[in-house]
Amino acid sequence: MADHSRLDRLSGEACVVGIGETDYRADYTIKPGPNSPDSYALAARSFSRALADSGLAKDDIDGLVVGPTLAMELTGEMLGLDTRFTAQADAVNAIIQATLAIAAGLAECVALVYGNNQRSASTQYGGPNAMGGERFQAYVYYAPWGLTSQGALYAMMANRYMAETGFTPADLGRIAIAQRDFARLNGNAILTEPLGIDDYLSARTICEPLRRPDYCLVNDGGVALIVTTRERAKRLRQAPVAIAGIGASDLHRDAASLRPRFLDFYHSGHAETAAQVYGMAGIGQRDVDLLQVYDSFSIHVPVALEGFGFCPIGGAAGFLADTGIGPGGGLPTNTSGGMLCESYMQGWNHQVEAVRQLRNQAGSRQVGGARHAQYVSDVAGKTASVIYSAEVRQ
Amino acid sequence: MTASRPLRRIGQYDLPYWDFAAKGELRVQACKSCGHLRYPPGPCCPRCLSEDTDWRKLSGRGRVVTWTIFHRAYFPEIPVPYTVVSVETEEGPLLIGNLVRAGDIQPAVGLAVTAVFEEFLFGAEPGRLCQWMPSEISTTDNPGEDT
Repeated sequence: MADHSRLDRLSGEACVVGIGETDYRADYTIKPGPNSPDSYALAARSFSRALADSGLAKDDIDGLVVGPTLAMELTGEMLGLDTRFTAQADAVNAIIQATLAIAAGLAECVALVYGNNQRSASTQYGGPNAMGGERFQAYVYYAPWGLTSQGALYAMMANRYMAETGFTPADLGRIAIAQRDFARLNGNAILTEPLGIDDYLSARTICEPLRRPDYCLVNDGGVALIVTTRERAKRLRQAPVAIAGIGASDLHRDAASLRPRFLDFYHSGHAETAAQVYGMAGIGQRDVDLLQVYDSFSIHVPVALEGFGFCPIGGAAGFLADTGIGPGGGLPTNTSGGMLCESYMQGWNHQVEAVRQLRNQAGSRQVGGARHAQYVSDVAGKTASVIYSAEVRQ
Repeated sequence: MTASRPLRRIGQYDLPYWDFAAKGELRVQACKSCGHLRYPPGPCCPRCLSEDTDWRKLSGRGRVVTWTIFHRAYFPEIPVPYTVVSVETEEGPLLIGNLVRAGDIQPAVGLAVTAVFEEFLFGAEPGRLCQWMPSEISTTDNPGEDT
């Protein structure tokens, strides 16, 4: 059981003080070739930028958490870091690891580093050698029946969801359109052509009911964040952004049969995660000024809105229409354009965007007066959330 | 000529499933200790951790949990469009297959389906895949019989 008194003490102990990303849009215009930067080069670029943003020196870094595409020892060598704490993790687990390491005194300044040359390396997300098959059997096990791509699994989830709730293709289109509208306000977003509902509905179908705009990009890039103690954060260059809440609930049982995906929509995990993250941060859904949703596919968004309690179960279509998630909407969501339109960085770019918004550095897509930003994800049943706050405890 | 399909991933625990399928039998692992049915095959019962396992024959009846139709080809062996269904069997386990011999019947959540085995080549190896056809067609057809 979650011990909330222990968790609550961690709230705000760690702060994000540096952010860095590669030039997704500019890099996308360069044809991939044998000399395209590899994942380590992309990671190094973003790390260098995050470090400069924070004002810390490289030798201040004593902790390192690398993303799943990087080997942690090799990354440390490439970046020239000797560390007291080293780990490998996905986007949310990286934030959790950094928070724990800082709270426990295992490290003071932790670099979180991600790099992925998936486009130039032609990483396969479907077919007989789909990426991740050794961790998630469902990505590869059903190849004899032609079912492998993650998009196909989400398409099947979407069909079940639509049959149960009456959600329509036009409702799904609202998500792709809202995120495209945000991407058009982001100079570093890759997909910025205008997208209307007619464009969406006439786009090529990949796996019914999902169309091309429902699928994320595949591009090269890197992302880095620097996390440190609340005390040290106050003395640095940027306004600190506190990690106010963290939550996770991983649904591993029966994963390959797809039962938790199709029959639960991962809602049991969402509920556990929501209880923990809101309890720890001391806020509720109404206090969230902007939301970042892991969006490898558009269907993540309505399922997460319902699972995390922003609207009732089955109420996402109404929420999208009435409250709105695009620019000027009641719950601005994936404000950089997300992975559908800005860059597919497996949830890492969402963390940077949340921080940027809370620093009031998001330019023409800035959500006015943003104090709390929440990230939510449910990657293959790993439900997780982070709440960031511009309010730092004394 | 027998059509080809992508290679099966036959790990340490999968072989009995495919041997039964080759005989036209749909069987999944059943825990000898607690009776829990599991699929895909694995080393132990995820409910009680017992390694003692039987292979239980299923009725071959179920209902479509959800579906998709592929319009993008990921495998040269399988021409698009084709339909993939998740089927909740009467006994509980969820299985994946293609919806076949459906005629004018469209895939839909809740559609009653019946198992039917189809012959394919997996590389050079012949074998049979458990597929699903609408039950209302299979009652007039002959379930389990290969074309």
